[in-house]
Amino acid sequence: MMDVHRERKVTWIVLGLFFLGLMIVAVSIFNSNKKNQVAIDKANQLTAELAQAGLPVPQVQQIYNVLGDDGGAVCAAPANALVKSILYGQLTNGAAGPGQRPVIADNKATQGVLLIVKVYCPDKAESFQKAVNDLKYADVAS
Amino acid sequence: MSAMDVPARRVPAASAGSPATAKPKAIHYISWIALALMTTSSVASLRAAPTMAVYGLACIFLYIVPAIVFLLPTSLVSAELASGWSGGVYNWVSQGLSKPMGFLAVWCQFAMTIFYYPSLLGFVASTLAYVINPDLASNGIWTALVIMVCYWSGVWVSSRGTGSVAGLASGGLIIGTLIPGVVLVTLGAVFLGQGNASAAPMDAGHLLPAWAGLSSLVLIVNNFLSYSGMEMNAVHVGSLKNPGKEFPKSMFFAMGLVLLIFILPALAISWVVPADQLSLTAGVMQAFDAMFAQFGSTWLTPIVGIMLVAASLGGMLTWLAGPSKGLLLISRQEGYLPPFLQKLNKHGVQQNILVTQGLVTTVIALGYALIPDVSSVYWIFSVITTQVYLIVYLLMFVAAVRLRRSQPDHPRGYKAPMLVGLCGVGFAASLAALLIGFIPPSQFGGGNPWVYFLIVAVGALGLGLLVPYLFYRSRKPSWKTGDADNAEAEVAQS
Repeated sequence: MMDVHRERKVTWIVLGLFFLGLMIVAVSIFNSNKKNQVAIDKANQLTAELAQAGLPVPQVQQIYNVLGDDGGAVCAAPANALVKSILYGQLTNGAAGPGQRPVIADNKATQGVLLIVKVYCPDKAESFQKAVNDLKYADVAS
Repeated sequence: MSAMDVPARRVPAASAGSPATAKPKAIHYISWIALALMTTSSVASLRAAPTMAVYGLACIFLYIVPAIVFLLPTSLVSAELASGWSGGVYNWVSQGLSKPMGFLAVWCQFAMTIFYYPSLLGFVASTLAYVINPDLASNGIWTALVIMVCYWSGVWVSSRGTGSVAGLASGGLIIGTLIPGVVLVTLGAVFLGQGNASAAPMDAGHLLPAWAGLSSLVLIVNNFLSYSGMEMNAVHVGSLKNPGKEFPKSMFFAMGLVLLIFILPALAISWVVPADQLSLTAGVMQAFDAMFAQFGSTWLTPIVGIMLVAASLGGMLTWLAGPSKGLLLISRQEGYLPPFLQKLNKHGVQQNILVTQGLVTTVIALGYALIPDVSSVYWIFSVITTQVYLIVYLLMFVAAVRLRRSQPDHPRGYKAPMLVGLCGVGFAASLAALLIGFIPPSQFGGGNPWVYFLIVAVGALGLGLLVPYLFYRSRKPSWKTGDADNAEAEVAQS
């Protein structure tokens, strides 16, 4: 029978290798170079929409690096129940542990992402708009 | 040898109730730093940083006020209690109030975790989806698989004993929270150092969050719960070499770390990413991606994603090992749970409680796969479970005052200053959070507030009071499998 220290060492090695492998896979799969002409055009379009809405405008490079030419994760399935649950999970207090619970979110919480959906995946804008319209907001951020 | 290693073994003296011939068993110590890192890992991570970055400079206020009225009382009071009584919240409440109340306290602490794991592991699934394939975030089977694989792997690791959990939770915190936290803060400082204006105003006029009446009160009071869980690892106090001195030290260190982890990364993100662009649909990873995109370093995103996963799983391990151990201890002494649930493995770990809880987690995970709509109402469980968890704090503060009065000469390694005042503030803060939990949040939309009140009240009463009452009513003397000392000594070997 393995002694406790040896058993723990094995656990550390197994988990260490697992996370290292996962990291290598993630780095090789993750698309960190999203620059192409469509991505730049969409980023410019979003920049214009943000400015028109009176919202702060990030650099175009920052936009296409995150959203690419298809809106990335935002447009994957914005009104899907599971994705909505992720959104709901973010409209919470500042807890990172079991104290996490929902709050009345700020008006700004979904403003930016609504514009992203309109620009990058307009076909999904209506259902997403409906999903966020169902939420209650307040002006809680300064 | 690092602080998180297991430095020594001790042989407990035979207790009064144990036979003199009983073979003494070695206890594996953990260091106070390891316990501090476990506590930090249970409570804090970078997961909340983008959410709080929306509030800019006011996030300091939103963390400091709850720290004064909730973190400080909880930490100091539990430090005093743990330095005098082993076993954690069940023993404090049992000694200060009564055994049934002690069972209620530890049940509430345990019951909360039943719904916590699926929500935590759902976050893990969405984070992995972001770095592997964003389409997976909407796939129920993916989410269910991640929840089940991670939970059962966690049970396997936990079943190796507290020493394994302490090491891995500490490692998860360092790799998944402290290192990426330092990276975020450094990037934020570089951003400002390059002469860029902060995306969020950093002047005195923005120190306080905007006042929007009841909504602001909901935000501020709900933030008290950011620090819930600080007392949970006190159940492992018996694994410290000198609990009276080391547990308070560990709590103070954890308090400092928790505050730094919550405040600094949130501020750093608010410097770089405008609040309006902190996209929430794609979750936390989108915000980190936006932060790294500012520096043309989006290659960091998958690395930080995996690190966050490691931190979340490390935090989960502490929750697996903690409340269930307290539940086991009181059940062995009082026969509140059937013998099947009291079974220990060779490492002294409550394997059948963890497996039973795993079956519930598996059912919830299957719900994600088979009935995806369930996931969009899952937030209501987090309200119910946090309500249930607040009962623990109410009981703990009352018990602390009672113990100071009924057992003033009981040896304590640490005495909290102004204990009655601290308990008063902590009790009031917990009660306020309990009451504010009945106000409908964003997710409830324009629904009837009374319906919401009823859902939360019935859920909290059912999970927090009815279930433990039924266990209590069904208890049998024959279910007692050990006295207090034996139960703890046996379990402390883990």
